[in-house]
Amino acid sequence: MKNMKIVLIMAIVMVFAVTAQGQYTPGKVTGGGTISGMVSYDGTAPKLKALRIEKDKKVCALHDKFKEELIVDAKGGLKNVVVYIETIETGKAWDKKYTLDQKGCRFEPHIMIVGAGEKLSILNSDKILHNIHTYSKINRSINKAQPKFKKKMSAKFGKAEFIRLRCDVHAWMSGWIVSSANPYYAVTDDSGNFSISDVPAGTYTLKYWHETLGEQSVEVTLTGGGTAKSDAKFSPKS
Amino acid sequence: MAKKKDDIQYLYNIPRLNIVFALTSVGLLLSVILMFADDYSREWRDYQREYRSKQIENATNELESKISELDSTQLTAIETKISEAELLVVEREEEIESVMDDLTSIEDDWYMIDQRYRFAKSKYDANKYSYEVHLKKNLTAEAEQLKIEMDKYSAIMFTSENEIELKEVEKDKANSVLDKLNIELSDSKKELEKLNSDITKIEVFLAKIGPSFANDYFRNMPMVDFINPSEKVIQVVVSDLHEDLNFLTVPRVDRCQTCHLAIDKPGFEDAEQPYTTHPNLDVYVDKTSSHPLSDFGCTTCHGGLGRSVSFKNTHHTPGSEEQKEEWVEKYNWVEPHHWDYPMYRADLIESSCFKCHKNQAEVVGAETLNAGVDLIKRLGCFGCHKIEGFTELRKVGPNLTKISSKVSKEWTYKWVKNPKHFQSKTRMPRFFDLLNSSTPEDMVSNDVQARAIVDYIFANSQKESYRRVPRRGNRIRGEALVENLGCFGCHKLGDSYNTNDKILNRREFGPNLNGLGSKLNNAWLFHWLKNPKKYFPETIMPRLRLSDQEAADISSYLLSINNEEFDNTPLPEENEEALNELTFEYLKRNMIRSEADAKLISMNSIEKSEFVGEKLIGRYGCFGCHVIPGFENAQQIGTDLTEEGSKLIARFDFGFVDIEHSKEEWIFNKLKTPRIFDNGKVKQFDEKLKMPNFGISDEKTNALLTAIMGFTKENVASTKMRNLDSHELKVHEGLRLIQELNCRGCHVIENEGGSIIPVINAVMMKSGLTEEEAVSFYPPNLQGEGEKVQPDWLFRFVKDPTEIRPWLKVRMPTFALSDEDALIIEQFFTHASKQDFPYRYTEKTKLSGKILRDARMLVSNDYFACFSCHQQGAKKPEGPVSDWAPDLALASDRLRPEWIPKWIRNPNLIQPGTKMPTFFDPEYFDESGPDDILDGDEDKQIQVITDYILQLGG
Repeated sequence: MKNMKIVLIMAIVMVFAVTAQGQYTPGKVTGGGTISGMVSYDGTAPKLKALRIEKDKKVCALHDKFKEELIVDAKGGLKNVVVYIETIETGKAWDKKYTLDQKGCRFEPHIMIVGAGEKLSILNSDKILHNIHTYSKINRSINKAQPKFKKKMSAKFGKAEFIRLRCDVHAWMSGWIVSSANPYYAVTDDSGNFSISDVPAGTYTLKYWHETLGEQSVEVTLTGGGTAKSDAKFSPKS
Repeated sequence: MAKKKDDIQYLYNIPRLNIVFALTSVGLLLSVILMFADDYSREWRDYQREYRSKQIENATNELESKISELDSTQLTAIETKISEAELLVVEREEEIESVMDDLTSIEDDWYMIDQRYRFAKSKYDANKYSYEVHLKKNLTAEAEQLKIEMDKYSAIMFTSENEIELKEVEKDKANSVLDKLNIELSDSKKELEKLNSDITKIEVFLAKIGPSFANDYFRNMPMVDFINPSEKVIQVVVSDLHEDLNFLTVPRVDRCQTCHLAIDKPGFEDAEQPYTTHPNLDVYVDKTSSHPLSDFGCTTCHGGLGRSVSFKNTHHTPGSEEQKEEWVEKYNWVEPHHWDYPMYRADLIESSCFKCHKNQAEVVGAETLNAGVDLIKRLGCFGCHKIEGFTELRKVGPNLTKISSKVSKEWTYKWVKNPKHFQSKTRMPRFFDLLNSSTPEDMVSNDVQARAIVDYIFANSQKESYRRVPRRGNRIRGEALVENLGCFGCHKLGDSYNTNDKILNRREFGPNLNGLGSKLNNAWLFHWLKNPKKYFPETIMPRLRLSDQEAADISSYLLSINNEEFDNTPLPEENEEALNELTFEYLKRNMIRSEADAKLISMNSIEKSEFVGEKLIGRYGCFGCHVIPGFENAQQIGTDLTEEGSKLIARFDFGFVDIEHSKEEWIFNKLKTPRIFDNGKVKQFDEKLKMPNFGISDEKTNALLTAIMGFTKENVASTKMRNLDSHELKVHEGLRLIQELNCRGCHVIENEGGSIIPVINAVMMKSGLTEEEAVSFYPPNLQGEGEKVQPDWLFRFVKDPTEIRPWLKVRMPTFALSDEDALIIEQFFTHASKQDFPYRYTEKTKLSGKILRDARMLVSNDYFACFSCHQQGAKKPEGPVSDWAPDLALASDRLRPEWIPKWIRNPNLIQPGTKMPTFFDPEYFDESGPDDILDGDEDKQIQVITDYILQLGG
């Protein structure tokens, strides 16, 4: 009897632990569907603000750089929106590789999605000192230098979180590391389009996150092997 | 000679007398029995009985749970093991016996063989000798014979030796079988004993206190209870702490434990009183704590009559009205009349820390007391009241000798009349229109009085002329400066960025900056901001090293905020009649009426007003907080509070105020409503109570009350005082100055402070940063500062700060400290970090040759690129100044050489959230440095970088 009780308690605790962390178990998806759509900006497209590069110009000022916090194309497509399924317990496998580069004194990509607990490779193509300084609430913040001689570093983020990324050597460098709870995360392209594939049939909460405009969510239902379209619109920050 | 009985004449009727005697003796017996009965049914005995039954219940429960725990787990296993072992011993008895028999026979055999061997050996030796002799004599034939004999014995020896070895193996085997059996048995028994030891302990305890005839009846029986009673008065005598028992000073005796039986026993935290465990046993009561019961007793801290063993006579003090009612019903509680020092109310208990800890700047864990002491300093109670330990402090209010260049007369009239109207939280108290001065006639007089005080001060004020403000300020820039420079470490502005500190808000250290537009003029504010000490040499307000433009910007911002409500309140009215009355009142003190009348007629209104003003300043004691010309040598006007906590209750005048007659209540009401005890009394103007109303919250009033109740006349033995060692003395001296300058408004020092941090978070978030990013904009955390910087440098820095961290928006102000004060700060940090003082800098050998080349490589852009961010004296990094890191050329003067490697190794560990990245990954330390310098030895690399940095300063 006592043993039964212990087993029961342990089972409950484990269930809690799993649900609390929203742990994702990768598996095989057959006949998965695709969610796609376009995210647009409900307002006049703002002009890109050029960044003033005053340091390490030989490397950093090769290309013009702009503030990337709000990029809208002529048709209103909003770039750099993270679209993701909030909770899904099992589905496709994680990506094999996640690589963040520091190239021309810019984080490439601006929004880096990496699976929670998966290894992120960090490259420095610039041959000058950079540092990876993350500002997190849930994970531990890191601040690692990456001097010229250190071509590659790695980092892991155990829990899902949107993490602000900066370089203290080059104050204009700004990016995001999105530690994702599952592999169903996508970032909108220049025209605001996104697509999430290999999604098992079901009803999901789809979320849209933008670094300055905030977050919104919508419910999406997907039939086996089908496609679902889900557009979103962000209004300008008041 | 003997007379017959019958003949004796008695004066009394004997039979009647016998009856009287009989009855009296029965009565006496009864009263003795009643006395015993009474003595044996005392309150504390009931508590001890109840506690005993509680203990028995607890122990029985524990025993049961222990036993049941054992049953289910190991006990059965061990018991079966024991029985198995025992069974085995029985079962194998024959086996063992045969083993034993075997052992004896083996031993017999061994002995025989051994003897055979020895005999053979001696014969062999004898033959060997003869053989050698024969050979020598060349008797070959005999020798041959002897050789054969020799070989025969040698063979016997060989076989015997083998046999012996075999027998020894057999012997060991038999022995080991026996040993194994025995060990198994004894191990199991030991294990059982161990498991049972907890149980045995409880059982022994239960036997000692549990129900039995001896425990229940015999031990506490009258006449035998002197031997070893289970119910007894438990007391502690503290020979070096004394109490005053009516003209006699005797050692303290506390019998509180007689009822508070579990006071030192953990496990009764949630039990009902009086069986509750004392909170914080690691600090109080426990033998290993800093205040063991045996050394300090109970009443030393709690007050009350420790010798008594009844609830009523020990003088417990209820914590609330409800508790009081409950106690009256339950214990017939009454207000104490027969003991001058009832217990401290639970929420004021920190009062009693003061008498032993008074030489400390703050007492760890005594938040309320610390706040109270701090409040006395901030509110300036010592301006009017003499309090030992609070003398020679600077006056808390501004210097009024040049007031006319700062504010207008009109503003000041209204301000003096009711300062709270301008600034509800100002420390300046309210003197007028209070409880004992609110009749219509009083109100007229109050206006005249307020005007008179101001007239006097302005008439005696020097006029400072300021040169014109050289620049036009910009309000918007000014606002940004006020938000970023760190003004909000000491000031608030209205309700913006409201942050809640503890009882005392460090951000209310300086005045609230709201409404300055209604109060100040531009020229004064500009010059004040540029250099506050010029106007008011004793001010704490530091210089922020503002440029003219910055000062102009800030002035224009602050002056753009008006207090319209205050602007719209009418001026206090003039009234000739009331002024005449007051003038005459004061004139006639020094002259006869007719002279006074004549004098009055000869004075004009302004003269009268200034004359009355001077007298009123003397009456209300304005000079206690302000420097006022003409009052340089005036004496404090209030009651001496040095021994207020010991003042007898009979000496407090409760008047007609219906409150509980206790010191706490009196002082509390006095602080909240200072004029309350004039209620219902008929008094002349001059007799009225004059303490002003500070408008402090209940929480702060309780803190003040705690401190005041702690000011007692008790003389604590030096052995029991908290004596500070040489480190601590310097630390507390420093803390006092740190409180005085409000350093903790910005910095975290000794785990306290950093009150500005929430403001910086809010300001930074407004500019688009996250709260996490805001961390690098905090004023430096000074925890462990003494380990980091060289004292000499610190001395120079606090005297004249220079910019170290170019990215910080908050600015370390210049306090213009004297050498003495700078030394106090220097020593504070050194001693707080337990570093030696004075400090000796050990000169490093200069790097040269290959090592120097390696060092240059390491700091170069090909490796750690230190100078990509750090300045290097005149060599500045690229990019905007706000992105630069501290000047490494300062390091040799500023940093302790042993601190630098620690910092390089893991900066985030020392200053969490720092912008300095970690170059040597602590997780893979051995792989983190470059492999091609100094053989890839990370420790050497760090040391070489350190040495290089240290020689940068030249």
